[in-house]
Amino acid sequence: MSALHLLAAAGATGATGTGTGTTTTTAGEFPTVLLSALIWTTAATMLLLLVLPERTDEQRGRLRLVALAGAAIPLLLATFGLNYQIGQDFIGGTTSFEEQRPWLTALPVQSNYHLGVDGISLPLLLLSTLLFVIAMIASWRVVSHLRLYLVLMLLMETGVNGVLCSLDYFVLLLFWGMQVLPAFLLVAMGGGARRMRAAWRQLGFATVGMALLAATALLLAAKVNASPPSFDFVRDNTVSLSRGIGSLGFWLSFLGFALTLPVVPFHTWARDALAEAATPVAVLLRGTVMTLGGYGLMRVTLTAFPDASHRFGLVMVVVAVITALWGAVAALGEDDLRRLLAYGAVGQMGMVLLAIASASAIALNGAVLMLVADGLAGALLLLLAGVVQDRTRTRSIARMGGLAWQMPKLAALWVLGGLAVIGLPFLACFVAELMIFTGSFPVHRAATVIVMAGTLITTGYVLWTMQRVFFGPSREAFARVRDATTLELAYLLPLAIAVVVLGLLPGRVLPVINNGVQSVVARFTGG
Amino acid sequence: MYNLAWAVVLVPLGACVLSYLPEVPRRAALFCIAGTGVSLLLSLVLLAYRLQHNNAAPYQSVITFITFAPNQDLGGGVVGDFHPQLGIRVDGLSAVMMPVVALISMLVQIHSMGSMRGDAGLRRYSVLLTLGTFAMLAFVSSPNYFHLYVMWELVAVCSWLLMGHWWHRPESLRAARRAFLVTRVGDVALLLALVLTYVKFSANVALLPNTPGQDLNDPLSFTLLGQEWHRGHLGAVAGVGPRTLVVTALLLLVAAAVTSAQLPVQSWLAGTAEAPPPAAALIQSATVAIMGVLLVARAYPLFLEVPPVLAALAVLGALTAVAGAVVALTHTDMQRIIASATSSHLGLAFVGLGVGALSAGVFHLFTQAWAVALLVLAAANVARAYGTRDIRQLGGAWERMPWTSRAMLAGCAASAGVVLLSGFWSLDGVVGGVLRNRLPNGASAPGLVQGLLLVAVLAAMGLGALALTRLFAVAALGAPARRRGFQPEKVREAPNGMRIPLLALAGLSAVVGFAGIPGIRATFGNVIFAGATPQHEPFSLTALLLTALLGTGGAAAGWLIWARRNPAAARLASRVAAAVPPGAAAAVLEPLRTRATELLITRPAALPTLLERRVLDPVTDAVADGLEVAATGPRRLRTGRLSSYLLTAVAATALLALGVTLAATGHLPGVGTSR
Repeated sequence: MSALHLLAAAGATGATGTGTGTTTTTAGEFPTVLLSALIWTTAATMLLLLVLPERTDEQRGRLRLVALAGAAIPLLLATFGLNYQIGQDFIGGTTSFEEQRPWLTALPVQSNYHLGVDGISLPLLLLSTLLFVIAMIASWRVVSHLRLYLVLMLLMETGVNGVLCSLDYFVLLLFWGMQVLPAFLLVAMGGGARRMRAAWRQLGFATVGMALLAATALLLAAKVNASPPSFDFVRDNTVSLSRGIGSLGFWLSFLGFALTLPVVPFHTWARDALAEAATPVAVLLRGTVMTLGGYGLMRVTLTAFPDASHRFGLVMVVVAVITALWGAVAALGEDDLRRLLAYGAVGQMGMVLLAIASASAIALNGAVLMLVADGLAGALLLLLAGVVQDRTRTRSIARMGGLAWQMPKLAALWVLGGLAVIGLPFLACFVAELMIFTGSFPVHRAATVIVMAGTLITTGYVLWTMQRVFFGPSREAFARVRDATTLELAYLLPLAIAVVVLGLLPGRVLPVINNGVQSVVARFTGG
Repeated sequence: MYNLAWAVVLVPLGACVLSYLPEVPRRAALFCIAGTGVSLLLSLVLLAYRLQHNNAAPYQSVITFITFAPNQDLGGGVVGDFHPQLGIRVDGLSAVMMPVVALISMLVQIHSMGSMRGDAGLRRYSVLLTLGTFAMLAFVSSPNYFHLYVMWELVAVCSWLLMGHWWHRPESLRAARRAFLVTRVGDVALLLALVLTYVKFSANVALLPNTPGQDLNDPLSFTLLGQEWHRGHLGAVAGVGPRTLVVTALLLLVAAAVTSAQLPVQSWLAGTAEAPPPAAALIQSATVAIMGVLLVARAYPLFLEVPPVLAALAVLGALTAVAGAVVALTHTDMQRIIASATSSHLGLAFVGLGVGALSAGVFHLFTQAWAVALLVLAAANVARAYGTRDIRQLGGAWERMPWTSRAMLAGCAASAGVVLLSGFWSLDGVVGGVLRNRLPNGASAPGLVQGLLLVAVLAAMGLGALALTRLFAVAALGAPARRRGFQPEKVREAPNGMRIPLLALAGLSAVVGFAGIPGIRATFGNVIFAGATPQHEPFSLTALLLTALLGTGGAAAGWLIWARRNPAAARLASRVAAAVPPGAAAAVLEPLRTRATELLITRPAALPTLLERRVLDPVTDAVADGLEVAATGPRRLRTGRLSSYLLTAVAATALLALGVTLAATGHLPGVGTSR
């Protein structure tokens, strides 16, 4: 615990020195290393795993424990970081735990190892670290290629957390690239019969997205008149660009992140990957990788290209509406349980994009909250679907039915997750939805009304699926399947509790989120 | 004193939590009953206190759920803070409705102890009943639209879970799903109204001086909105015009009509027939079904500003009242008859609200609540003893189940509006309201509409009385049909636990009408009223005579046809019935519904996947193949072996690292160092 106190002190100094974001920790003070520790712990654990043997069961058990510990430390640090920010009374747009070290100074465009978190990234960081721990527990029964599997997962975590903490485009790109390959290999390693196809598709989209982001970064570096030119967020994101360059940058970054979010028509990778990957991997793709898309849209697209985002707001809105409706309607007609959840996830992301397109403070707060809430609820449902698939040996909803006879606990958890997704008050997504609608209604009326009407379809498929899978007469074929095991409850219950707690106390994190959102909104109002 | 309302609301919630402590489900159910009972006692104390201080301003106490204070102006028009609040509000409406909800819920739960004995999910069921009671108590005592919306949703979810309590029966599931989806339409309309209200009024409300008793001005609070709507009507609120008010009122109307089972979705209420009967009683008399009427009563200041919407509400209610009564006449399922009659009576309550007789409308809701709960429970007892709900197979309950059948008679008579019983007085109020046709602010509906309303209300009363008499006479009198395996002599009166609630409800539904006799001061209209002061409804002899004639006359005619089996009357009835073959409606509607489902749901739902299969996937694959060919030549890269992918990955990473290092040290050709 003493290490945490040390970090706390360092965090305080880091935060006080960086009100405007242009200075870093002054000399003489102990530099904060919280974020570096958070990011690189998993990488270090990965290296440790590489030298550990995995021949016997005992050795495999050790591998699992080490990996779990490696994933738990970032969760602890992220919790601490968020808790620290909740305790602060910040004014808009403060970055904390900032670290800045000169790095690639020899490049024509300067890049610094510049990390920092604010109200947008902290909740997402907490979500991502939590989901990695959950995924580790959910992978407890994995045996084949165990070391490779764990190594890839930890590498992916380093990348995801790194993206959320980067304040430099070059660093962000490196971290972004760091999660692409592990994600691809993880999808390829285990899961459904058509996983190779899904993995390739996912890699293809991720590569294109990566290229677009690289182009965005280069564009900013080339066109922002700074001397020396640099990849730094803080500088690049406060300079206004010419109309043409702004539009170009907007399209590059919007496409890059929208591919990841994903939006229709680029959602096919998510549909396939979420359906075919092993369940823990699907949870990570949904809860962390897709979240990065939403994060990037707010952090890069809106912040760096506010004028162009405003100009092309209508495009984003149209895409958002199509995505929301497409996801919900496709889910209604889908028989494959995993694909149904994937479509549902896409639909929810349409709501996030609607909020981003409206770019009002309330809606953006709602969007961040939605990413977290939906990440939790969606992860819960995906994991449950994994368990159901494991028991029934099928993904076809038509072949399931009456499972609540044998698995009442799983059915209850599914009802909870489903109610959370449709926005029942006092569960995670409700306040997020309310804020998104309240914020986007004045800006894009018709679109908001359509998306709200679309939530009816969401209700429809959630209810229908619930009833077809779990309720109805008992089936002979499933007479001997078991209810949730202790291991399954160990990763399902924390998510269920998180869904309820976030629903009851969203007010705790909102000030922090709002503090981060202000830096985005300030760009729109000319602040 | 008024803070007692917090306890009224929260005690049932506490009971829900506590009921997971005892091992035995029956004891858990007892915990729930006790919690509801405590809540009932407290709410009665509160009511007594409120009646003594009738003219005091509404009391409210709130806590802030979330605080969102953007410290910058956010483009796009919204300024102002977002701080939805939860809380309680004690005024005439909430003080009167809280004991109603608590008492009906408690009686229903007592009945459940008998009728749900041995049910596998007894604990879940009791907890859901109590949770629904909590949500409904919080709903009737809500201080603002946010709280109202939250509780509205909770009530709807509880009722969905209750309707689907027997989750292994497909018909329960279907009914529950339909009910939830239909009420969900109302939810979305209400949410939209809430968002619209916030967007339109928050900026203005933020500028107002602080209201006493509140630390911040909530743009969704009933008290503030009551004034704001009026100011908006006068054009004193920036950005608020008549259109805003009309749209908000229409959205609320949709929410109310859908939830209170009005046309064209009135049939979801009949689905409660598939729910456990006590739960159906609660849903029809004290929770979901009455929420719509209460919503309109709450938003009455808004509706008064837009008389055309109010008139539309009245017309919709009148049409539903007639349709419900006709449908009740054709059904043969006891619970469906009762549900249709309920929807008809809710329509009459809407008529009362729509013609400006707020207290008469709410009073009708109040009197019907007891009768409806009684009828559903009595029908449940009969159905349990006979093993069927089909009235054609029932009979003889009058001798074999004396208590239940007499209670049922009381319920039918009270609901039908037989002279001096409770329904009579409230129907009289509604008819009087239609005859008077005058909103508190002086506006009135056009004469044509008034005429239509009057005809519809009278027809609905007559037909409704006929239908309820038919229900009683066919189900309780005569002799049961012969069925295989059914022994009429084995039919027994229901046990005490299932009889006592019926007797209590029968007593109440006979006498509660005296609380609101039109023309007498210090009655219902003195407590629940629109505007600042009570409006005393004048006594109308015409209304009284018309009500007596239609209500009692309808019941008497029904008695002649189905109880006395008067040949002339029976012949007439059968001739009318022959004109409308019983299966006709179903024969027309069922294919229509199938077709509509096909066109509206099945086909559109298949569209995205079809587009993906035919367009998106091929295009993506083509692009990917093109890229692959361009990058690697026509070589096969997809060897399918994990090691080769890994190798590629490692090679790519190494290349990237090499490039970065070269660039960083200035060795990459064409890239100079910057320092």
